[in-house]
Amino acid sequence: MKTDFSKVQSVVTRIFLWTSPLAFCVLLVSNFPEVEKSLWENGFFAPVLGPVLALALMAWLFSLLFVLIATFVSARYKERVLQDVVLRRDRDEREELLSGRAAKTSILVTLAASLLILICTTGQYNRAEETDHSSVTIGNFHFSEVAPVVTKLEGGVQVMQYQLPMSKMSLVLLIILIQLSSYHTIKYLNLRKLE
Amino acid sequence: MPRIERKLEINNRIQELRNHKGLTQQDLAEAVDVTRATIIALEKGSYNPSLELAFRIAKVFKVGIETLFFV
Repeated sequence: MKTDFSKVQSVVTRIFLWTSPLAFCVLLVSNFPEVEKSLWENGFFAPVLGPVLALALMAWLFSLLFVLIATFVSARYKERVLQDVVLRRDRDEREELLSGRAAKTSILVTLAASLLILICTTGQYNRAEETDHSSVTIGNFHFSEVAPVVTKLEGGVQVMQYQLPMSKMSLVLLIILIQLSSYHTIKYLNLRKLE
Repeated sequence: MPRIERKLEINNRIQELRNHKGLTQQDLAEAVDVTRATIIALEKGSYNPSLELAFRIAKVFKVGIETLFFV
């Protein structure tokens, strides 16, 4: 029998999965101001689809928060989310073995890609104006960078936009560290279970 | 000279015993609670089952595990 909390989990996970494509579309469109403006000026879009999209985006944000916390807290929930995302359930031991192999390969591939991205983020292109000489250097480690404060006038109100002082490199490094530490922690916990 | 580890080839009589008992692959799969694909992989020898599954299959055929699997 399902407990009340697992019912909530199931509903919120479904909301997250169903609203995710919509949320990604909204986020993608927001990168193109002309497209976004023309959509909002459309007679049908603004009064009908606008509130629906806004509601979906709000639901996505709240469900994302829930999914993030629940994924960190519960291992069983993590597995269920993964099954819902990849749309596949392991039906027997052979499929569990195949999933394990796929996960292992996947972590190695993403780790290699993350390391490549990490190297790329430390790259820098330099060009001397007078001599027109250029060079590419790598290994410029900057863990934090001072992002410029953007000042905008929105609806007659002066808005100052601050960004996190984390550099791209430190974000990629953080992802790699999370990946490696979670892999080793889960492996260690599973090994302890088998002892 | 380095020792070369060779994978132990484990054979089985699953197909033979299944045919003898008049069971389909689906019947056997349902009896031991796995998918038909797993039974196919077992019969082809491309997948070695866990000890638990090996005992479950042996129980269906009412034979010992050593009769079912051999090297």
